[in-house]
Amino acid sequence: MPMTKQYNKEDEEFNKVTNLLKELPHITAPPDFEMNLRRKLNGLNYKQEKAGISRFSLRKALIPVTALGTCAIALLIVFQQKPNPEAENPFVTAPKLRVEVKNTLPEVSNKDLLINPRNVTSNDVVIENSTPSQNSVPMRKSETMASEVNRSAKPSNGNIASNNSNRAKTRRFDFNGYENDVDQSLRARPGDYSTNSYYGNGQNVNFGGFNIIQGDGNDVEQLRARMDSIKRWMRENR
Amino acid sequence: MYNSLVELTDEELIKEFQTNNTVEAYELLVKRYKDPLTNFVYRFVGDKDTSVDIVQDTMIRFYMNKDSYKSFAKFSTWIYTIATNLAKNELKRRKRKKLLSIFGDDDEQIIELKDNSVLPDVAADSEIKNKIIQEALNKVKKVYREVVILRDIQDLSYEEIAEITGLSIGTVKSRINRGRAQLQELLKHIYKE
Repeated sequence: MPMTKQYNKEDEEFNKVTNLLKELPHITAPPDFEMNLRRKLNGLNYKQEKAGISRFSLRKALIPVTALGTCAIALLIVFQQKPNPEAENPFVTAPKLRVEVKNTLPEVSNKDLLINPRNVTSNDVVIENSTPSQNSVPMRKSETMASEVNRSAKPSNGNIASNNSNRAKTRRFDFNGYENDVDQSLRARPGDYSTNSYYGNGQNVNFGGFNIIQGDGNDVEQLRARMDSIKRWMRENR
Repeated sequence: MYNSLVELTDEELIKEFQTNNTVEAYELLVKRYKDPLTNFVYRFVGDKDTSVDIVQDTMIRFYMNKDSYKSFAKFSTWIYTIATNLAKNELKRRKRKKLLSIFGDDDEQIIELKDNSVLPDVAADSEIKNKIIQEALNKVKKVYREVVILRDIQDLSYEEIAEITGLSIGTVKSRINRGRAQLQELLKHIYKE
């Protein structure tokens, strides 16, 4: 209540101002106000109807039509694609050689690729066997000695001892003057897992590499001494 | 039909318009509120043509958004709220225009009227007096002007003004008094004698 009294007091204080404002003439709407309003509303309704029609035609009709059309085109493209018999897959077919290249190439048959034991000469593999083995068969260089090892080291009943007894054989391979003692090199590196695996004679064989060992150096020393003597002789006879 | 509608209150008319889409109910409400709203908006923006446009916009919005009116509120406060918001938007637009203009003046700034041609004897002329009062009103801060017009020109209660503006009654009363004080200062040479 005191607040109301206070505001009433303030109302009295501003009496002159409020009276001035109340004396102001009331502005009325123009006589054509309602007519203009009706016209605007009609225009608005027309716009809404037009917008509704356009929305129907564009969104509700055009979108499905467009979607159907797109699907039809996609299906046509997919089903009209016939596999071209002339087209070759480079990953499947072998490359065709040109005629001039083809003529220069030597004919290679599968027969040439097979190893005929009768064709193996002593130059291919040199095997020194302390005890002649019935199983030992001359090998080609290309056929690694591991297969031979495997062949000769066939355990009768999977026994390691018998396996070791077979290893007593000495096998020497001559590769361009270098000698290699396979057994020695394999024994020198027991448990070396860097061995190569390959299939020879249908069996898995671990091969520890060639482990080429040069000669003991006497040959070089002999050659060097010979060279020195030749040089000396040339100097003396000059 | 029309005669029966005339006897209905504002709230009953808008209910009729909402439920049955009775255009006559809408037209009756337009007839009842077009003049008070035009007067209020004119006093708020100070331009007749603009005020008529704003009131028409108000009526169009009322027509378009009739369902947004809730029956717990008075129709008068609802329609005044729409008109007030549109009038405020118009003032904001004008302010933006003035800011863009190099020689634009800030209408929020209170400047004492320095019209020396308006002498007390001349002020007796009601037309000139009304013009001076309107000019003074235009110079009152927007937030004060709004409530002063609603209270002193439109004769709305504090509660109605609070509902229209969304303010508390205390804020409404204090703003009214501040607006009146500003007006008193601006119009002192009119009621000096």
